Amino acid sequence: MTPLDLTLALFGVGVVAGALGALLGLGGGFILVPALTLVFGLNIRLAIGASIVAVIATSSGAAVAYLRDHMANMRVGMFLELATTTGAVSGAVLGSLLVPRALYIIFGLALAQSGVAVARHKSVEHRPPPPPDALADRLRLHGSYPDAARGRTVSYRVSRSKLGLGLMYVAGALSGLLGVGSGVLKVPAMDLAMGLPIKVSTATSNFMIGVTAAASAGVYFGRDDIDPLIAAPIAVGVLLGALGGARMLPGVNPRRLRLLFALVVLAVSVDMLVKGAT
Amino acid sequence: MNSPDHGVGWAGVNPDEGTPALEGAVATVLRVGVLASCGVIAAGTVLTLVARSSRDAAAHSLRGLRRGVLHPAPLHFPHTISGLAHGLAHGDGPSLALLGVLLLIATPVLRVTVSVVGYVLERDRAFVVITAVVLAILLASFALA
Repeated sequence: MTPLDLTLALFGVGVVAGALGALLGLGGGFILVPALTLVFGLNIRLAIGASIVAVIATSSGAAVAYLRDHMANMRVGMFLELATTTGAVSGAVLGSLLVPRALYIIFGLALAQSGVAVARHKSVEHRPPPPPDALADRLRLHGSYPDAARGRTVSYRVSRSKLGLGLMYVAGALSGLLGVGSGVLKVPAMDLAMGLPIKVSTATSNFMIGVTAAASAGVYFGRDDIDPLIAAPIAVGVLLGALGGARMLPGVNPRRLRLLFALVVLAVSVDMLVKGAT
Repeated sequence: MNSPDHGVGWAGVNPDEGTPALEGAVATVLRVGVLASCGVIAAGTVLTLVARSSRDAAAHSLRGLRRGVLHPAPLHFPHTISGLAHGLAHGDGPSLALLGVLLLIATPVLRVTVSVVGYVLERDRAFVVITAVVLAILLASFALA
C-alpha cells in the first residue's frame, strides 16, 4: 500500500466513523479502533492515539450543529464533564499498565453491556416520570429540544444527577483507557439513568466527548502514541462525516436511532471480544 | 432567575432554555478551532505526500506500525516544541500535520475556557466553579504528560 492509498483509505474510514458517530453520540472510536487494528493491522496503541484525535474532531464538529439546533444540553454536559475528565485522566494512566488483550476484553464487555441496556429499554414516552432531583433543580439542568420528527418542542426533566456523575467517571476512565469517546456509556447514562431523551443524550454526549478526549489526548501525546500521519487523514474524514451525520439527527425516528445504536454497539463488542480471546 | 428550589414537584419547574449567547460563543470557538486545525492537518498531509523525502519517511513509518507493541514504530515526527518549530521552518509536512493535531486537541480546552468566562459574565457561580474545575483538570492532564 502506498502512502497515498493508505491516506485515502484512512480518510474513507474516517468519513463513515464520523457520520455514524455524530448520529449516535459516539466519537467514532468504536469504529476506528477496530478498523485500524483488525483491518489495517495497526498497533493498538497507535490506533488508540489516532482515534482519540479523531474523536475530538467528530465531537467538536457535531457539537457546533447540535448547539445551533438547541439539541445538546450544554449545562448537563458541563456538569458531567467534571466526572468524565477525572475519569479520563485515571484511565489514560491505567492504560499504560495494561496489556492490549485486556484492553480488547474490557472494551468488548463494556460495549455488550450498554448495547443490551439500550436495546431493552422503553422509549421516553412510556417511562414513569423520573424522581425529583434537588441538585438538577439547583443547577437548572432541565431543558427542551426541537423534535422535527414529531414537529414540536419537547420538554424534559433531568434526574439522578449524582448517579450520572458516577457513571460518567466510569465512561471517562474507559475513554482514557481505550481512546474512544465512550459515548457507548455516556448515552445510556443520560438516556437511561438521568432521563434525557435519546436525541438530547446523543447530542450532549457528542458535546462532552471532545473535552473528555482532550484530557486523555495529553497523556497519549506524551507517550508518543499519536502519529500525525495516521491521525491526520482520519481527523479530516471524521470531521466531514460528523457534519453530515449531525444534519440528519433532527429528522431521525428516536426508536430507530435507539435500535441502530444497540446493533452497532453489539456488533463491535463481539468483534473486540473475539480479538481479545484469540 | 430561578432560585434554588426545595421540594419542587414534577410540574412545578420551567425547563431552563440554557443561555443562547454563551451557546453561540461556544459554537463559534468550536467551529473556528475545528476548521483551522483540520485545514492545517490537511495541508500537512498533502505536503507530506508531495515532498519525496517525507513521503519515504512516511512509508517507512507506516510499515513499522504493523510491528506490534514491543516494537514501536520508528518515529518520524518531532517530539518537542523546538523540534516542531524547526520542522515548520523547513516546510516539513509531518510537522505541519502535528501542529494541526495539537490545535485540534487545544480546541476543547479553549471551549471550556470560553465557558468559564461566559458563566462569570452571567454571574452563575455554580457553573463558574464547575467549568473552572474542568479546565484545571484538563490543564493538569497536559502537565502530567
